[in-house]
Formats: sequence, C-alpha cells, structure tokens
Amino acid sequence: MEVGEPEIPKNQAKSEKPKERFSYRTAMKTINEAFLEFLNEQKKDLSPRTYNDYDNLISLFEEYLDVCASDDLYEEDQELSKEKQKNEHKEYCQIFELAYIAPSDIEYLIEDYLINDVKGVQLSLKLQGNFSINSCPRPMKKKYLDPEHYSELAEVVGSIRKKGKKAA
Amino acid sequence: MEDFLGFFIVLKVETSKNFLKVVGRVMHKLVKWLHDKGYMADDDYEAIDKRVKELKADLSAAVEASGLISEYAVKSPHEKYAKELNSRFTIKKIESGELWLEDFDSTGELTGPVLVSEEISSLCRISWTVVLRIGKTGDRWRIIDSKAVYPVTEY
Repeated sequence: MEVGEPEIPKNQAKSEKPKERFSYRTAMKTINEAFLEFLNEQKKDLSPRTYNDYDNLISLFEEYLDVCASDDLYEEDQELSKEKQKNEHKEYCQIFELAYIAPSDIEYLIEDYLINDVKGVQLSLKLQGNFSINSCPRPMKKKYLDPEHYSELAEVVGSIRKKGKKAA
Repeated sequence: MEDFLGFFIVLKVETSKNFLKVVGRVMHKLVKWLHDKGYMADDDYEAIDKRVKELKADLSAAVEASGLISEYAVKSPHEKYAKELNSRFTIKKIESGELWLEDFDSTGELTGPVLVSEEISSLCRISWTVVLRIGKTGDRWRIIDSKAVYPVTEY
C-alpha cells in the first residue's frame, strides 16, 4: 500500500474475516499486484496460448498506465510518483492502488492506445524489428535492462505518443 | 539505446486479429473482476462495460484502417498542394476509394473526396474520428500524414 493508506477502525480486530466487497479506501493492492491476482485467477481456465494473450494485454494496459496515466495525477501524487521512480525505480502500477485506474483509462486503452500507439511505435521502430512498448518493462523485471535505461526508453516511447497527440 | 532495440527484437504482442479478438473478452472480464472485488463502483462498471462492448466491435477494423492509412500516406506523392489541412476530422461519407470529412473546426462543411484505397474505404465507418494532414490537388485531396484513427465521434 503506497498511497491513501486506509484507516483501520480501532475496534476492528485484525482477526476479523475481511468483507468480500470492500471500498477503494480498504483496497490494499497496487495495480500491479491486482493484475497479477486477476491473471492467476484466469490461468486455471485458459489454454497456455489464450493465457499468453491475456498476459500480453494486461502488460500493455500496465504499460499504458505507466507511460500515460501519471500525466493526470494531482501535484502531490506526481511528486510521490517522481520520488518513487527515482529512488525505488517503481512505475505507476507498482506505486498506486486500483483506485488510480479511471474508467476513462480503459476506454483510452481500447479506442486509442491499441489502435494508434502500439502500431505507431512498431512502425517507428521498424528498422529495429517488431519492437513494441511492451518490450520495455519485462526485460527490466528480468534484469536484462537496468532501471535507468528503462526510464530512458519509456521516455522515448512516451514522447512518440505525445508527439502524435500534440501534432493533432 | 539502439543496441538495446537491436537486441530485443522480440515481438511480445502482435496486434493480430486473434489477439484483437481477445481484447474485448479480457477487458470485459477485467472490468467485471474489478467490480466483483469491489474495486470499481457500480455506476462506473455499468458505463465502462457497455463501452467495452461497443468498442470491441470496431477494434479490428480501426487497427487495420489505422495501419493502412499510415502506409497510404507514406506512399502519397510529395507535391505542392494548392491547400493543406492538418486537423481532426469526422468521417461523414464513404464511397469506394473516397472519404468525405468534416473538420472539427468548421462544422457543416465537407472536405472531399479524400483519396484512399478501396480497402481503407471498406474498413472505415461513418462517424469515426481521424487525425490527418491532407493536401488538395485539383478537385481531390490526398492524405499526406496520418496521426490517428479513433472509432469514436468527436474524440
């Protein structure tokens, strides 16, 4: 829990069974953790190939949020995000909880990012092969790419996206 | 950086038709999962689930059209145009190989015909938003550059 630490009522014993439905304030998972939980729950019902598609799409959504969602943060959260990125090499989805996904993020992912940005990055980097923004975080997580280079790459990818928007 | 890009030529996501078919299903499941777990409010869930269903219908065509329009723009002959427009447009009329567009900044006036391939015109839908630079040559317009295709009106 990195942001918006929920206040636990003093009279609520730790051993109490958690309610099945809980509010944003009691949501304890980061976006990244929740997505992993979602994927794990889906895995048992899916073929490896279909699961791979699920995993790829969720990775794309995470990358969309890491690159684009921080633009819409309030100043205080932006400061926190910058600090965590600099000191702990954490990205948006590793810092913030699910309440930091706006319904509009899901819309933009489908109606814009998947159509214009993923394709755009692939075209822009055609000479380097079929590279997509999706290739960024995994190598870092697997320690193929150090965090500084990841940030640099994310910046490049982000600037491609922003360039397109501004030009419009 | 170039070494990295050269080295990691791994395509983790192909925006293939199969993958795009999965997008709607996964996003629907994710949204339902977020709602069921209490991470998404009831109102938001209803609105976004409806929107996901609407968007997934056009996703494959929009991705294909976006790619083809970009390629078409690159192949357009570079010439002096009598007039150029760089704007967001709504597709208002479609005929084989031709589009008629309405500029967001000048409502009511149609710009066209804008020449496209027959494949592009067959994929595009009336009311989609396109972000283009177009140039007029004679009575027709050519696409000089394409920034985006959105399967929505007034993006």
